[in-house]
Amino acid sequence: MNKTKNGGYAEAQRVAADPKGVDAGAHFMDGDHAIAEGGLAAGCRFFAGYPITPSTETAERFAERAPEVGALFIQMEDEIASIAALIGAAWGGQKVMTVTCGPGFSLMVENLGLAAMTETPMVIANVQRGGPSTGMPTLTAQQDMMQAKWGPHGDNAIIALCPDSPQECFDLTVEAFNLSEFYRVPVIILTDETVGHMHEKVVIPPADQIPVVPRNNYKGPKEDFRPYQFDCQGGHPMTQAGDGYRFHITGLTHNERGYPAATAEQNKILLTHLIEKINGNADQIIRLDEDQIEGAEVVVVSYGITSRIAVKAMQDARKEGIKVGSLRLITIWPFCEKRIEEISSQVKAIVVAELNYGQMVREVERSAAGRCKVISVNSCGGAVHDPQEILDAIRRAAQ
Amino acid sequence: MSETRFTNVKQLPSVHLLGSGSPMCAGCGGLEALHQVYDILGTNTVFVNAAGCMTLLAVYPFTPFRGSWLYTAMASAPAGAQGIRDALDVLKERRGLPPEEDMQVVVLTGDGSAYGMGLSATSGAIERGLDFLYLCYDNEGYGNTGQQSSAATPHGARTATDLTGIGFHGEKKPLFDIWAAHRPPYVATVIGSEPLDLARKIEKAKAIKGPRLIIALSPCPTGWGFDPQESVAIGKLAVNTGVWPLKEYVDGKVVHTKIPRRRVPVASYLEAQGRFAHLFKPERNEAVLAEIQARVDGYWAGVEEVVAPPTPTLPQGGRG
Repeated sequence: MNKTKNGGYAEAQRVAADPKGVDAGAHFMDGDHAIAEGGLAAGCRFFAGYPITPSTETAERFAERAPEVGALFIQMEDEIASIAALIGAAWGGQKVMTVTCGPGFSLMVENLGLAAMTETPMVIANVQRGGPSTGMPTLTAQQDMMQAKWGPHGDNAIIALCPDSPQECFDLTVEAFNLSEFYRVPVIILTDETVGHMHEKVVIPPADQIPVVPRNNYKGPKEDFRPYQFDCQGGHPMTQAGDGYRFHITGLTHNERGYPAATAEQNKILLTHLIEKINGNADQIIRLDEDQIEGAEVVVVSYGITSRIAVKAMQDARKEGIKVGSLRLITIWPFCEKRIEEISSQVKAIVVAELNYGQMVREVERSAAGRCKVISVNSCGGAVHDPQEILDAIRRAAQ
Repeated sequence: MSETRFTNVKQLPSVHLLGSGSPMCAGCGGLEALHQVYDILGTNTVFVNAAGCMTLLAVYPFTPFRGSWLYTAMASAPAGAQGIRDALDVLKERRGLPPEEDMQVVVLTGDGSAYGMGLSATSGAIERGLDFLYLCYDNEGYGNTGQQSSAATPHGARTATDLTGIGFHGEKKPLFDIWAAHRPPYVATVIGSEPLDLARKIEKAKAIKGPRLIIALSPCPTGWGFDPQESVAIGKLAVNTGVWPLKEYVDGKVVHTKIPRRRVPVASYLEAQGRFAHLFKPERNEAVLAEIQARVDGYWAGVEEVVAPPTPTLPQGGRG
């Protein structure tokens, strides 16, 4: 059942990016800066943030570029205020973003839940550093993968994307805005300190080659306006303050007019909508980067910076005659459970490499459901893997 | 201040408690102030820190303190201090901790926490009458992450997030007034370049129970853009230009402890720092400089009106 209006995400209306925000050309730039450029290219004109290592460079870049683009950068008193300002500005008609890392993201999660509840589009980049707590501010990790999805209390669904290079930081930030606008959901860029601080070539295309999903503002009669449409899984219009439509935005369980309706029946309708508009459209949302999976006996699942380390391990394994394929997760949430299910029935084992104590491996195990071995190559963060660790796991998996 | 044991600089402690060789930047005005504060407070001091430059003082073996240290999340240092104070009180009441072994609980944060996200926790601690001393080293920006603007950043300063135009458009938040409005027993401003004034205030604060709050303006070579050896000179200019009023709030009254009668023009303080260079080159931004000078003049006009003897004539206009 496809309840999506306007034909689904693939057919969503797209327009050329506003050239004012597009710094077209080839750049030598780090991932943090590329995230700021991606946001500006996607039409983001409001950034509220708070400095925190290793994400500060994104805020600084946006702050520096904002005057020439006609955007607004506000430095807030903390991360709670930063994300709250995004909610306000989004309902004021702007495309909005912020950037942070673990401790700041932890402060944001209550309002992240509010943003999901109120179907407020926004993009939040989490440039992950080693934790818990203050942890290792200048060292890399991938420890906030589960927090991105399960941080806010209560059930909800968000989208999270994971770039493995500065180029992808740019590309996926644009994509994040497009998904966020279409599904009216917070989208999280789950990058890491290494990618954030890594300088590489970043090619920013001309504006007319960057398709962006514009804000869909309601234009119909006032009496028909509903800020929410629970039978619609994408493409449902918003309005903005000052447009003349009356709307009510609340964190309480609400009806389609936005007014509180805290009953079990209404909560079922609302929650089903919030979750199914994402999970029910997972096929349209999920992007994966696959290599040599056909005929493989072992598949390595990785994401972000770890996937670039895994490449070396896989090359070495192939030299030893092991048939190994790669599944790089570009979309983290919703999780690609169907693809893992398929792969798990074709291979001896799946190796999951990640810079945490074992987070996404749980999703892989759940989806593989015992059809193949699942081997975790985890790490406590602070440094990327030694390719040898992943190679050893591939060898064990192939036995 | 007749009660003070410090009547001249020579009477200040000559043996210093804070160890040398910490990871702070050379010429750090915050460390200079902390150094002097610690000498007066003594070794029976436990520091409660929120994220900031001085969190680097926790990196072993570069830990210059003689005693204990508790790190808290950035918004929570005064709440962390509450727990320590309560624990010490329990030890005193139930376990017979001798008074001479009691500790001063000192919150140590930068302006990012003090002026911004920690303000709510500070307000709560003052409201509860917590017996603690708050030392804010105020370097007017988020120094630890590369000097982005904070609520303590002065008008016209360039920061990493205010690189264009005149720099920071806002005004430095009046934290002294906000703290004083809570009516705690003691609030003061200090600066490391005025060690006698600082020592007297810390001496007074040490003898008082309840919330005592100190803001130390902390010239920052790295963030403000000046040679580390100029740190004391910049601090003296901050006082002599009237930019940083040295004052205390005690018994419900604000008293200025040093009134620069012949104030040096503010431009000489600003011109010495890279963060204000854009106000002088390629050409002087007279409008902004006049605006900043007028604000300082206006402040002191108010102070002089308070301290001047009552006069039957109408107040003069145009004093700022």
